[in-house]
Amino acid sequence: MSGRTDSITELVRMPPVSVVDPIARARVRDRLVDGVAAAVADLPSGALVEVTLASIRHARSHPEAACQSDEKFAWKPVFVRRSLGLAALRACVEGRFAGPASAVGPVADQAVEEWESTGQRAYHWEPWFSGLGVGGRAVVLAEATNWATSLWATFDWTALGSQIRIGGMDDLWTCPAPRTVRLKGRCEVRTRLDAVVNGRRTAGSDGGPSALVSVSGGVPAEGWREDLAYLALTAGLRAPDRPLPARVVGLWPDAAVERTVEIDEAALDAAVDRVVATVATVATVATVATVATVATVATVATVATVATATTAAA
Amino acid sequence: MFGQDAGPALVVTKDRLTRALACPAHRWGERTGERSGAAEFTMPLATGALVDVLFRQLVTIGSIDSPMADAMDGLCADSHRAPLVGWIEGLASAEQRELRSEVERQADGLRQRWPALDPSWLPRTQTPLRAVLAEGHVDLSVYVDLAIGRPAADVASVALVDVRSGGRHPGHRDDRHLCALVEALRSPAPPFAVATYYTKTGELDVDPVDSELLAAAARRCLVGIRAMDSLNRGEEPGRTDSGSSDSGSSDSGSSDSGSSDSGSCTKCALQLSGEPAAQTVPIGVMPSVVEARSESPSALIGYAQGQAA
Repeated sequence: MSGRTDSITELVRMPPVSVVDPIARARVRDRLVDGVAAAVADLPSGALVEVTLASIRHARSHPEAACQSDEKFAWKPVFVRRSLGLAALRACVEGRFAGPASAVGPVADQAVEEWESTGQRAYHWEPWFSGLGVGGRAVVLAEATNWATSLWATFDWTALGSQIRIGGMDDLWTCPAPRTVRLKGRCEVRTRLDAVVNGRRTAGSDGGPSALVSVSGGVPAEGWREDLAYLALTAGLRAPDRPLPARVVGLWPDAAVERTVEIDEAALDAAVDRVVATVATVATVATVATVATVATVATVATVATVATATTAAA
Repeated sequence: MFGQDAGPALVVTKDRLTRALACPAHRWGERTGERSGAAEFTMPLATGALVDVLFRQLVTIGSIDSPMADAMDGLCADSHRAPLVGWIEGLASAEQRELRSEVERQADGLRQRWPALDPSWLPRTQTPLRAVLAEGHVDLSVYVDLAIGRPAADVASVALVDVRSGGRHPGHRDDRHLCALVEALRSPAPPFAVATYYTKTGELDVDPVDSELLAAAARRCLVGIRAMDSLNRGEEPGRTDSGSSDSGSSDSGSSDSGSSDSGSCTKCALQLSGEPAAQTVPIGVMPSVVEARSESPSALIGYAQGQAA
């Protein structure tokens, strides 16, 4: 393994630097609820706002278009690469394949077979993928191979051992605000951090703090700290009885860049500010729109979903 | 060069850099939008796009069944290629036969010459490489058609390959050197080799990457960035002090995509009394395809294997 691989692997294993106590955690939650409630006060009853990492970035970079999208969702290779890439990566870590290039094909075939035999779609893209010709499938597999290879080459998976979870469910939390505001957090890998016991470093326990790994396309943009902290905030809100993720590592494979945020109260506060600003931007755009109907605002969810898929794919 | 209010990052791609280093009229045309507007599809562009898809397919699944059908399937998988698909489908039958024939000929060459790539070499296709410089004011952004080797911190372990469906052109060497530069800037170690593979002839030009190559690429890039910055600030075009050959590359890094293989700039010929843009290069290392080391794909793969070992 290279020095870079070793250092990034160490980043997702080393003991936490800071701990957020329960009182501070409750205060952060209250700030978020108050801020969001104020931001959505003018939205029509029944409106839904979904906040994702993609919508946060979009609202910051293109606030004027925070809830505009007429694009109808249609599958394309970049929308598949994250989920197929994660499944291929999992298969590689389990030792079933030597690398993503040999894993993506069998993993995709297996997903289609299961869908055809049971009718259950584990990834949603199975019907679309099965309808593609050889060349179309190859493009999908190539995209997934690229995506998975960037992660596969980043970590020393042997050193991480069993302390990892690849993919998994999104973190969802609904804010108790006058209008429905849903926060959705998605990371690619979760690792259990080591602990320090009696001055000695040991493997962390099941209920101990974790690190989240988030993969993005392009290069880190302004606000990347708050973006990464948002993932820890959402995970903490979803599971208030579990320790907060203590660290979030962001990977931008296109630029071969990694960035880390240690999660403390200040990082969470910054993430709360970003969420409130995002909701306020969306609410303002929706309210100013000529027809600020429930349907208009509801398109935010569609925008966020499409943007999430795009960003995850990118 | 870039002030506090420099605005969005200056995105530098292969094609933009080449155009910025071209003749003044060419650059001014870029500034005033002469090159912008709707895509102009051509037979070479269509051939390049189709062969790109087939090369990617061969690397990914190891086979090509029916070249034209597979390639069209690949293009159709993504809706953003719909205009090109429509253009191809709208060709007259004689042109379609010509296109099919060329695609099949190049696909045969790919099948015969490209060895299977071991998954442990981590082959990636159409890979984006980005390097942000000058506190975010400059964004170097290129695509490579194939990258092999596991990136490492202390040893050059990656090889980059550009695939071209047209003929050789000196600008292709500039393009692959730019790829080497971007990879060296973004990663702890530079690539050990950059190559251009010509699907039309089966030739592979390989340049081992050393500090001289990277320094020359950096100088060319810097001159181009200055020219682009001048254009962005609305300055009148003037003669570039440094640069390289004209045209012949694409932003996407995909094979040719219809660029001229001749290396001539018709605009310059018409407007600048025939002075070729390539003569504006003062660096002293005017690219020449003759100088490039010609290899077979298998030789490059063997070299990569040796590096990995």
